[in-house]
Amino acid sequence: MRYKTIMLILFLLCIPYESHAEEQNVTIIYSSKSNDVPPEVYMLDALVSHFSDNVDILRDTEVSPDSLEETTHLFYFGVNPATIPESTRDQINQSESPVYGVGYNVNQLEAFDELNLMTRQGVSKFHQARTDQSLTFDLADTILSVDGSSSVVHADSIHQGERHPVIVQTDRHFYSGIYNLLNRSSLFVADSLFDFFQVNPVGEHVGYLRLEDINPSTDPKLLEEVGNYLLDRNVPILLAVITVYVEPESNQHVHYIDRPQLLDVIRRLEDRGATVLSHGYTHQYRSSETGEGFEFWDVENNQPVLVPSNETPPLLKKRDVFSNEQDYDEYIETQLEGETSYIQSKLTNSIHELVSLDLEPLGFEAPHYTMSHSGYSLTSKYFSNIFGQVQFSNTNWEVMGAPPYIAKPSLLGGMTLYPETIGYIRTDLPRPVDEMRRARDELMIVRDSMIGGFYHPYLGTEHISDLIDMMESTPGFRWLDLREQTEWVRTEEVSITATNGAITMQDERSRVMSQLSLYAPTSFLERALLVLALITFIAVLTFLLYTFYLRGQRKKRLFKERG
Amino acid sequence: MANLLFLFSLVMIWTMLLYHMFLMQGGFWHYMTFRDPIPEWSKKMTDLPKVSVLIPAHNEAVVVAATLRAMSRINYPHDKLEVILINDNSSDRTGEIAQTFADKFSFIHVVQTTPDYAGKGKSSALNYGLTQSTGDVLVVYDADNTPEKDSVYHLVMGLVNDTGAGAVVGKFRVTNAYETLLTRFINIETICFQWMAQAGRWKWFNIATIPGTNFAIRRSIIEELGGWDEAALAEDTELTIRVYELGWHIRFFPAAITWEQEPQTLKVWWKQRTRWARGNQYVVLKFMRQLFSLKRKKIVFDIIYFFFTYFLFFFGVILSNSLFVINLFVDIGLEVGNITLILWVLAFLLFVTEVFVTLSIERSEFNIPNFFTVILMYFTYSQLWIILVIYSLYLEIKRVLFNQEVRWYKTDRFE
Repeated sequence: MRYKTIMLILFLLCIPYESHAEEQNVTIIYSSKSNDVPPEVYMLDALVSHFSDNVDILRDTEVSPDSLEETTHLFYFGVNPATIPESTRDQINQSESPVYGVGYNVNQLEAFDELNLMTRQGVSKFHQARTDQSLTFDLADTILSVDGSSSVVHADSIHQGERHPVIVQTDRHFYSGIYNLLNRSSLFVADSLFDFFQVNPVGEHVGYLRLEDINPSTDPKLLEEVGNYLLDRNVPILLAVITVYVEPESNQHVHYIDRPQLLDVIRRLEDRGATVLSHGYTHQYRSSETGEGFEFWDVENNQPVLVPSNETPPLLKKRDVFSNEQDYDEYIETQLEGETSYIQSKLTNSIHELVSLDLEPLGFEAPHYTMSHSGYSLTSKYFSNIFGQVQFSNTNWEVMGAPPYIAKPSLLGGMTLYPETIGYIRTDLPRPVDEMRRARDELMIVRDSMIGGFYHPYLGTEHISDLIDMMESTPGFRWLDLREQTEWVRTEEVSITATNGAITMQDERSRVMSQLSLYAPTSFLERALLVLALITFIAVLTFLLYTFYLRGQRKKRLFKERG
Repeated sequence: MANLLFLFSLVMIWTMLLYHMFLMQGGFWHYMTFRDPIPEWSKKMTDLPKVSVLIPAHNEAVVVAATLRAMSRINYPHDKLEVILINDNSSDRTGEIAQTFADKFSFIHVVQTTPDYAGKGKSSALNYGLTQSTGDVLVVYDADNTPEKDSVYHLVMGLVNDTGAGAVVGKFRVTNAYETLLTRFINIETICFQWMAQAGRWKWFNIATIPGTNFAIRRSIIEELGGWDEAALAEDTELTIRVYELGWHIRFFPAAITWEQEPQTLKVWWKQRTRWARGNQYVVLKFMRQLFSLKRKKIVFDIIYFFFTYFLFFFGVILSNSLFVINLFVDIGLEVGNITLILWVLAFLLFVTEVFVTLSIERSEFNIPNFFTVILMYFTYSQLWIILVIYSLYLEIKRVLFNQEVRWYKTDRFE
């Protein structure tokens, strides 16, 4: 009986925090001038992925007669003004699913043909009907406002004192004139999706705080001070741990094994409930410094990392250089082989070294949140989750963003995204906690939004108590405990799994070898010294052998010498 | 900067250690093989050359009797042997004691240096001995030596069978090895020197150094060279280089054994070793300047080896020690990992095992007291070498600074 009760409780605990009404099949059709999927479309996908695990993204020219057969919810996103191909238009019109239109061209669709759209520039203030709240953003936006009658207005833009509806609903169909989804105003779109999908929110705001950029050069005292303070306040902190510190001038690699005091601090914090995230192996590429440099994006050439640190990468050719798509795809595929082995070795090294240090990494955060799309898909084989933001563009690292709630963007190959939404303590600002509070307040218009931020432990405890007070004052606030989720981190030989607070670790590497690998040298000098040590060791053994041999021959020699 | 200096010292020190590792291997190999040709060589020992044994002696009354007793037992046809004790300016009973042996054994002669040669040191005495001798082969022993009875025979065997050898060098052992801790150290040191430096270099490069005693040299060579160089402080090293320059090599043949006395007090040891160190430093610096004009490249290599020993390795050690000490008090940003600690331990083990091999070669020397002596030696006797080199460098610099170099030759001549 007791066993059954426990099983029942366990089963109940396994039920995910968000409640999908039913299996949703979403199709996003977009019109764009670009051959690549535009970043805004990826952002829409990221938003939608909070509600559905099945999202198809199709360009308007790719829609086939059976594309929408399984679709339960349809999105049309006009990124640029264009004529929707007739067959696609017919497909959408004939679909029985509710349609959510975003941006341009929606008048060409039956669901929205009555809407009177008008471009408005310099819009920075919006009003949400549900909460009757207005938000003013720092950056002004260009939107399409909807004039004329529609049944429900979810959000208005407020421009020159006048209200103009911007997110509206007619029957089951929604339209959003906010289409620059990488802007902050996309929060209104994010919240409207609850209504579009008719999903009841859980009604809580889950939050997390990462201690950022912990690396072998971190001051152990400050880390311990900050970490202990947070754990004393029962904050299940996340430790974003970089495995190796690379000194930029000497290119010297420092490992935790060389910093036993710091390693002890991290271990103690983990024992007390902190969770380790892998934040890259070196958090740098080429000659940059750990924590400063990018690791999974070649920022100098603004392209994926194609070759190891010590080699000069080729510049990726643009798509328009090629006469056809196939040639381009083949070219990219060959070029990205280098990226694959680079990322694989970095991720494997990071996980293996952390595990060898008796740490249990449970998630990943890409250095500076940058990574190519192929990189994300590769990373998803190693980690079940990722923290931070998503680089939506595959050609420009600066195009990044994150949905305001936990999501599983298709770009991330199945990884759960725990978005960073409120930024971090910036010491260049006079009242940094207030800056984060402002971001938090904006997030309050989105149901179930995540309050995710980070903190640099080198700042000490100066701002930390205000920050925690602020975060915990959020209505319906709860700390994310990654160990309570179902998460895994794995390589071919090592796997760490968390389920309901229990962590299981499997390490198929030989214990001796994995411990030895901690001491394995990385720099040329250290390697040379190791070879020297080995040669000397062999010589010492040989000479011992000679000594024993000569002693063994003693009597024989005595006769020989006398004879 | 500190890291660069550290790297420098590391390279200097380990170049030497690796080289000695290599020499040790050669030395062991030579031990295993040097007896192999003896049966074959013995067959050629029919028409033996005439040998003159030269023993320079200056106030050696304490030891000369034992020396001549050993000489009287030399196993070599007496009609082809003359032992010449060169009594150089002795004010004690050296000549008197020696004469009793000369009276008793016809092949032992005592000669007195004439004023032209007298009191100018060992080279000068040997040059006088040269004028008094008739042998085709010259064998030199120091006055405190008691050679084993077959040693002269073996030295000659080397010359007869190795026509390229200008000289043959035997090995020497220590008679007073167990008198004091110092002689224990010296005993171990000499055994190492013979089997690592001498046997090792001979096996790999056909190079050996004339040690000043227990060697045989062809008379023709000494005559071609115009005798021993009376100006040189370390006449052995100088002679070695000159023999090689003539196109000959020097063979190390450890079948020829002599026993000699070593300093029993630190004071005597210090004086003797300072002279050696200074002599070698002088020779190295002299030949470093004409390094590339030397005909025999092999010997160039050997001079570089000496240069390493007295300058580069020495500075490496000093630097490494200084960095270590400074690092104890100030953080100089030295990024040395665990590996250097391992290397330090390995360097010690290398020293110990190398010494063990050489001690085991000398049958009775690898015993329990010596086991501990070797370990103690690393931390004491071996470290004295640093102070010794500093001191002798200081003396050298002082001489160069306060006297001109040409005058230094002359000053030495009158010492």
